[in-house]
Amino acid sequence: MMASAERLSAYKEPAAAAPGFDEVYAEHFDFVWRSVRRLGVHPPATDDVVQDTFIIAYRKLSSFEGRSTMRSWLFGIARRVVSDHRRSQRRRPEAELSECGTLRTETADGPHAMTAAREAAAVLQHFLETLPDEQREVFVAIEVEQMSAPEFVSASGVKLNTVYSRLRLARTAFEKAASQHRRLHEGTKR
Amino acid sequence: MNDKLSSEAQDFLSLATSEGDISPSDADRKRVRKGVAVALAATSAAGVAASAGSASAAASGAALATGGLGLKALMVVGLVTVAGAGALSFTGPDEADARTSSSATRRAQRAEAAEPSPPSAPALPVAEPTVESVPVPSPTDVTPIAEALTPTPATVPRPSASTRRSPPQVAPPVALDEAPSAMSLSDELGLLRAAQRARVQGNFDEALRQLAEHNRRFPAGRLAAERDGTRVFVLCDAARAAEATSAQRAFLRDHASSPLAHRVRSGCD
Repeated sequence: MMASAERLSAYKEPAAAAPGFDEVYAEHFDFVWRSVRRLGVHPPATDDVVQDTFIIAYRKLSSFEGRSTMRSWLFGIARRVVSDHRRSQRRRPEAELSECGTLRTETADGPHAMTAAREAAAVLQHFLETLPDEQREVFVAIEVEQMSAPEFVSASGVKLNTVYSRLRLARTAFEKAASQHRRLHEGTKR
Repeated sequence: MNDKLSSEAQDFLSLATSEGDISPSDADRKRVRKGVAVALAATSAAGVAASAGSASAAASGAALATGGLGLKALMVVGLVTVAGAGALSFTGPDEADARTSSSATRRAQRAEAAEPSPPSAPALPVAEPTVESVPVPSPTDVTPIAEALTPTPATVPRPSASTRRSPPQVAPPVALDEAPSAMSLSDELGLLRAAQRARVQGNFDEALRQLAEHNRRFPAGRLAAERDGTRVFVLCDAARAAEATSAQRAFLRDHASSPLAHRVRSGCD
C-alpha cells in the first residue's frame, strides 16, 4: 500500500485546473463503492461496476465542468453503469435476498455479536433492495449520501418534481421498514 | 411528514450508515485500482482515453496505473497518447462506454487472476518483476503494450488464438461509427493482443502468425515497435535463438528509441 502510494505521488501530474484522475479516485472511491452497493449491485459484481464507473469518469473527466459536485457527477455515472449492469444481468430477486442473509452472518464474532449498527445496516440494505430502482437511487443519493435534490437532478437529469415525488415514496417506505424493525427488535427483547 | 424523515427513522438511518460495513476494504481498493489501471491500459490503447484532448487525464490515469500495476500500464497509456490515438472517439452515450468498459473489466480481472506471476514470466528469462514486489522499474525495464494487454485467453471477445483465418476479424469492443484511422489502430491492437495471447498460451507459431499479419497489414503501423519487440520475445520463448537475434538486430535498427529497446537489447538472456 505504502509503496503504491509513493509510486502514485511520484507520477502525479502537475496541478491543473481540473482535478487529476488519481485524486478523484482516491477521494471518491469509497463513495462510489458504497453507492454502487446500495444501488443494489452484489459483491461479486461490485468490482466490475465500480471499475466501469471510474473508467468512464476517466474518459470524461476533461469534460467535467464543475457545474455539479464531483460526487454527484460520479453518482450520475455510477447510476447509469448500475442500470446498464442490471439490464445485462437481470438479477434474480432471490439472490438479492440471500445476499442480505449473508450480510447478517458476516461479522467476525458470529451473528450474536452483531452490533445494532450492523443490524441496522443489514436492514437498510434489505430495504433498498426492495425499493423500485428509481426510488432507490433517489433515496441513496439524498437520504444516505446527503446530496441535495438539485444535485441529484444534475446527476441524473430527472426532473425535480419527479425526484421529490420518488423521494416521498421512498421515505414513506423507509419509515415503515424502520418502525417494523424497531417493533421486531423490541419484541425480541421482551 | 414526507418532507423529511421522522427523527426515529433518521436515527435509524444514521445508525445503519455509521459502521461502514459496506465500505470497501483496503483489499477492495487495491484490487479495483489495479483493475481500472489494466482496463484503462487496454482500452486506452483503443484510443478511448485520449479522445477529446484529455491527454492530461491520460497521464494521470497512467499515474494511477503505477499505483497498482507498475509501469506496464503507464507505458501503454503513454505510448498510445503519444501515438495520437485520440482519433477514436466515442460518440455514443454512456451506455456504450459502459459496455466497452465491461469487457475491459473482464480482461482486467483475468489479468488480476493471472497474478502474481505474469503469464509471460516463466518463458522469458528477463527479470519480470511481479506487480506487488517491484520497486518502480525504470520505464525501459517495462514491456509495454504486449504484456499489459496480456489478459485473458478465454474471455476476450475476439476470435480465439487458434483462429487461423485471415484477415482476422478485429473486434475490440469499440463503437461502430469510428473513424477509419481509429479503426486501424484497434485492428492493430487486436492483432497484437491475439499474438500476446497465443504467446502466453505457448502457441508461438500462432503468435508469430498474428505478428506477421500485423506486419503485412500495418508495416509502418503505430504499434510497429511493439510488434517487432514482441516478435523478439516470442522467438526467444520458442527457443529460436538465431531468428531472435536477427529480429533483435532489426528491432534495434528500426526502433532504437523505443521504450522496448532496453528489453529487446537484453535478448533471450
